Amino acid sequence: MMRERHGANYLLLFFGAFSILLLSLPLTGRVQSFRAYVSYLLDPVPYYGSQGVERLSSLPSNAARLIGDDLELQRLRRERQETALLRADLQSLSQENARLRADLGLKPAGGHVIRWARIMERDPMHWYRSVLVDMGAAEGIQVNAPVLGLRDERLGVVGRVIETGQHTAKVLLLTDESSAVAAQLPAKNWEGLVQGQGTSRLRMNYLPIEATVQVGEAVYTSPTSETFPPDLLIGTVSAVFERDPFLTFQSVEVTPAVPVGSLKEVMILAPQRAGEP
Amino acid sequence: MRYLHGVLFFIAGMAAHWAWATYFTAYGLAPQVLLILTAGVAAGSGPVAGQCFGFAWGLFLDMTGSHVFGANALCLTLAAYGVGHLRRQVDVTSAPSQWTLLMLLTPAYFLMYGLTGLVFERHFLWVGWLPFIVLPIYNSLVAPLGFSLARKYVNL
Repeated sequence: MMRERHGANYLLLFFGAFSILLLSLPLTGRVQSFRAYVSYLLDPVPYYGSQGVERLSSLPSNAARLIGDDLELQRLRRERQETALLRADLQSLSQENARLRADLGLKPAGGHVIRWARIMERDPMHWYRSVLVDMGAAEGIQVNAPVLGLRDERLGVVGRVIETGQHTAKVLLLTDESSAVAAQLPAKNWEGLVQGQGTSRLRMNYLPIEATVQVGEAVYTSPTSETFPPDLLIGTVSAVFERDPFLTFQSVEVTPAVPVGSLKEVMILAPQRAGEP
Repeated sequence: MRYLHGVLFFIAGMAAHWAWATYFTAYGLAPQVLLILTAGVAAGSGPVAGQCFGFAWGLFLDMTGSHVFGANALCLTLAAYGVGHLRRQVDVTSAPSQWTLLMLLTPAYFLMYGLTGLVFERHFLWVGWLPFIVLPIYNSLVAPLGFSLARKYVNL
């Protein structure tokens, strides 16, 4: 008992002196160092505690999301089964098309393989000009491959590949000044050339002078386009410019179907390689 | 093994104090879990163990606070010293005596903390009237649980 009392007294003296030392030197480097050391030792308790609490508190929302995802997965599985039937139909039509083309002596249509690529980099200085995507020559991407985007479950033209690396490719956007694509207004088959302006809008030039174009009309790629497959949506007419008496054609303004500024991923139509389905 | 229990109890004490003060406050008040546990360790294992736990837990409280660094360590060390010696004269194993002990110890702790501030920070670190009145009752209600846990898991 006496030993315990002596021990307690010595310990009180030691801890008391140490506490008073800490209290009386509040701003010195050594006290700050000691405080940092104590923090390093004891901080994990609240840190991991709060992480644990956060994980526990997010359990209900995670469970709800899991159930929602499961329903989505079941829906997608059903859709995939339906798609298998469509694919078989498509394959048979494609074979029939190839046979008929061969009989008529036409050049065989080039097949495409769809590659989804994520946009890796977008330079603010070239916002409407180009983007870099994470697929390249190793994935079968070639220069001039058409690049499409998805907006509200509709495909639209985004641009074309102008450079390929091993696993990257640079896409020239349709909005770039040097971009152009043969286009048509399918209502009366008016043909023209859609060109980039370096802004979010496009301009469709070389429409016949007698063409009557309405705002809101859809603009599609033309079958005469070398790069793009026909009938892909480019955008909609947002303004009809006044006719210039000195020009032999008229122009309209086109709003792109896929706003390039908000794209996260794009679909690249890579040429079909031998043996690829 | 008993030392391992001691270390785990030390960590669990900090976690309990942090969790109660962060998530289970009533009107902004939470019991001073570490003061209760320090008293419990001192009552169960003596003043030496109580002071060791009290000093280390005090540093944890000082680390989380923004005022004088070392004040909680000093106050909890003194509380453990007092309770450790008191256990020879007074029965601290029954719930009523633990209630009484915490009813007295809590205001003494507040006053000691305030005085430490007065000496080292030149103003009395007053906790406020609501905690000063309510926390002794709150602490004393939680005390039997803290004391029984300390007796069960700390045997140094």
